[in-house]
Amino acid sequence: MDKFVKLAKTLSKYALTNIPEGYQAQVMVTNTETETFRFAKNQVTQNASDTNIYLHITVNFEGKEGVFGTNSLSESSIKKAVEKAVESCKFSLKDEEFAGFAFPYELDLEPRNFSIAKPEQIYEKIGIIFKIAKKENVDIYGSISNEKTMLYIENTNKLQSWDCGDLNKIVIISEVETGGTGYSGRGYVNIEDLDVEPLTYESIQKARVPFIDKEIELGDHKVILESAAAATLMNVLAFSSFSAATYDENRSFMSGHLGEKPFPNSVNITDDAYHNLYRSLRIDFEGNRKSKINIVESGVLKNVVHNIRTAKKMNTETTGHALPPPQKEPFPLDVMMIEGNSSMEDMIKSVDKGIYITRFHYIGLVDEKKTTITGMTRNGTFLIENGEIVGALTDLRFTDDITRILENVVKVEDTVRNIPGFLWGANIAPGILTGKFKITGSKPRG
Amino acid sequence: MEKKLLALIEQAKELNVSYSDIRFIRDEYERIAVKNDQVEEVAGGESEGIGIRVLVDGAWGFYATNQLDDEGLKICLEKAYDIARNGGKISEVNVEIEEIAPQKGSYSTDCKIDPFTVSKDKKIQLLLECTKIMMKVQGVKIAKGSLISVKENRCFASTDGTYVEQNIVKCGGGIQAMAIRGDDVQMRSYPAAFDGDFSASGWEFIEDIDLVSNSQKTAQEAVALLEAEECPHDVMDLILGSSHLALQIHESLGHPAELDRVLGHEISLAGGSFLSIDKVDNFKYGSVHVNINSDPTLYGGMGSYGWDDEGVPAKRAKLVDKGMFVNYLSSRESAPIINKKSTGAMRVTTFNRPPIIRMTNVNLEPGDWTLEDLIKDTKKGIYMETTKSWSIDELRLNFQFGCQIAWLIEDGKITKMVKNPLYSGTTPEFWANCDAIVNKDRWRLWGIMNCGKGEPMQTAHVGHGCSLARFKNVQIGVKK
Repeated sequence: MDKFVKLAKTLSKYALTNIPEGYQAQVMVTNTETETFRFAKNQVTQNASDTNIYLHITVNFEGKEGVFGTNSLSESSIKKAVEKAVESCKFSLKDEEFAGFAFPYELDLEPRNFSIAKPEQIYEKIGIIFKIAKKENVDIYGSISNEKTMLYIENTNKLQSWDCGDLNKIVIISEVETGGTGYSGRGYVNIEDLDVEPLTYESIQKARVPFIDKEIELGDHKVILESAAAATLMNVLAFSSFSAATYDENRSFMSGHLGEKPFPNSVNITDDAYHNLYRSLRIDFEGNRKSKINIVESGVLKNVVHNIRTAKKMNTETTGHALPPPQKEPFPLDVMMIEGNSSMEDMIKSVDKGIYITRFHYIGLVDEKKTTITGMTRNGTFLIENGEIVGALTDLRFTDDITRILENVVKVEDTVRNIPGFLWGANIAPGILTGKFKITGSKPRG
Repeated sequence: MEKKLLALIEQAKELNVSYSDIRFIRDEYERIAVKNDQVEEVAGGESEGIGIRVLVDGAWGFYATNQLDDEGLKICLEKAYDIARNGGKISEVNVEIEEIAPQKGSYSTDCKIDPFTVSKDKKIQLLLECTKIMMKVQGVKIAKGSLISVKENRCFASTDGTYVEQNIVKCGGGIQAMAIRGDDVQMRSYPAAFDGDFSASGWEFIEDIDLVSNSQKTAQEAVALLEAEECPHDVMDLILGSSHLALQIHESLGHPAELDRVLGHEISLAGGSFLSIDKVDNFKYGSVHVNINSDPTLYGGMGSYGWDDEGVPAKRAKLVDKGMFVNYLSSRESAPIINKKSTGAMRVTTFNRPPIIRMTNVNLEPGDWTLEDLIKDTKKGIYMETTKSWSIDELRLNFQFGCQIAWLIEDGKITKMVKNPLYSGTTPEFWANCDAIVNKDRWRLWGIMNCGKGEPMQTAHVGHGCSLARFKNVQIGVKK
């Protein structure tokens, strides 16, 4: 990290010394290292590793903004990048909502020094998975990926802010001869602590549940959503509803409803970059320290997240949720649902007739304001009868409002899991039992 | 760059790799966006770097870097080699790839006016004119417009003896009007959803799509949708407008025809495919009216190029012939598994990603109907335009799509506008019920900027050519 900060300071100096008089500017330098190893049927099918350092310069003159990015890092290339940003700025119009860049503050983060996993460490884990697959005579697919990001922000207000974080995840899908598939997946912190054996068996166990030939009626069902499915709902709400920008433009279901209580006490949603299940970046892309924000507390709509821009417009303080430029809207990258007090076993036992859903596939947002989504279930959809899982079902289509699903939450699991997601950031949730979940179709088998 | 890449290829050969390819990619983009009377974004960026892929003892290794000095390149090659060598120790399958003849040459987009030479001011004024017109329409709350320009320089060398260079220019844009009343949010986009329509050509494409002249109609339709009735839930005939039909092709034929999905390489993320390898030449994908091809040689296609990213020359390939499924989008590794030649569909989006099988320009060939005759011929139906939402299962069978706008058709006439239209179906059944396709006069090659696939995610540019088509007995709305 120290080496990166030293380099980033030099690159920022190249940029900031070329900023014309009277302009404000922010430099953002990122160094990403990624490695992704994918496997299918006991073969490593693809690996991708890279390192890339990128510099973003944002300039602003009397409310007019220009942005340019480059990974050509010579002094002359950075000078050209600044010129391009300044040129863009000249053609822009005054943005009345521009609220300036961040000011210096005491950055009291605990320093982090960690390295990305070595390829041989990842291969060792994949080798264990392959051995289990062979022993159990199943086909296994999946991936192990690591992404380390170092972020440095400096601006003309003399703010210097930096941090590093990572996002490490494993996905395992087992497939058996009947066509049954099962999923397990986790985000993890250190590869040394990643125990792939129980995860592999978790996916095999799901795949081996025999199919049951029962037609599922269209309409409302009692449904248990495993952590992965519940975390997906949180991700959609992060996009559609939890930002001050969607709130302010009346695009969020929360718009005008802060303080109201649409959900039961057991629904608690927070944005927390400091959770111990992963190492998030603890500063945002304006350089401000991220605050932990309670978005829904005991079913009550409490807060949305801000960047400097929305905070000024709505007369409040930034919560440290700015995205990289030129994005103007804040975003909660660390949204998670808080655990409740029911065990998964008790949740299943409490269902007389219902459906257990492991995860979703391809969620489509049908109505942003109403939080209506459609999607399919995937890799482990089961029928529950009299408190027991009695068989696997074909994948089901659902179309429902997330708010309605949460309004009808009956129980929340006592354990949260970090689940691999599509977005950079948290994907943490417990399992939930909801009394209403609308099934609208199914996939034919075979 | 040629010298540098060929020297690296020689170094790779010294490591006794069975194959290696190296690509240098430099790309540049510009995005200008306005919202109401404000300039929302004037942004640009560039990136460059090298990606090295090696095949050692039947296992792949890939590493990429933006550190292009000799030391950086040496480390990059060594890391790719180490990854491959370690991978070979646990893989039970030895990767082999199809041999191809060495390729030499260059390819450039046919571009009359370089979009990067058009001033930012002109672009901003164009968009502000559009949003001004849209905001004048009473009921419009948000008006947006954006223009994107992209330039790519790609140099590719391989141990086959290939060295090719490609220079590609792309641009496009679109406008959007949003009308909001209470909880009812209605949106219209032109010429297509998301950021609009795109083409591998010059500024002349932006002039052709004529955003200004279409602004008022776009805004008026958004407002009219607030007053429109909800789309009925019923089974009826469905006519899909061209820009949305492009997405239907993309999701229900393009993705399932990617051979890596079929072989399970994407199962953990994007999913598999119902088009299992026993289905080639042996599966009725659609009706006899359905002819679909992959064609990366089309002028203006966002999926057009001279060579794919493992040196295979671009060529047209039939995927569905009179309804029969006949081929996949494939690569040099995957095609031999089904005893075929690569269709040249391996692509990378940026220097730091390995090539994976992607769509090129995947097109539905035109039929012989006029749109007017098609509507006249429809007794009870609905005509939907412009994508709003989409969802499809992991094997690409069960889908549900939403459009921005629709009109009911009764006894051969369009009767009224309806809002929030949805339809759902099962892929082979849906395409088997395609009974009419509109002729080439309305055939258009659409450009899509945001096809996501792969891990790490690669957002590719692809093209889809189509006119309009009718599908019989489709579930409209949600089945109750």
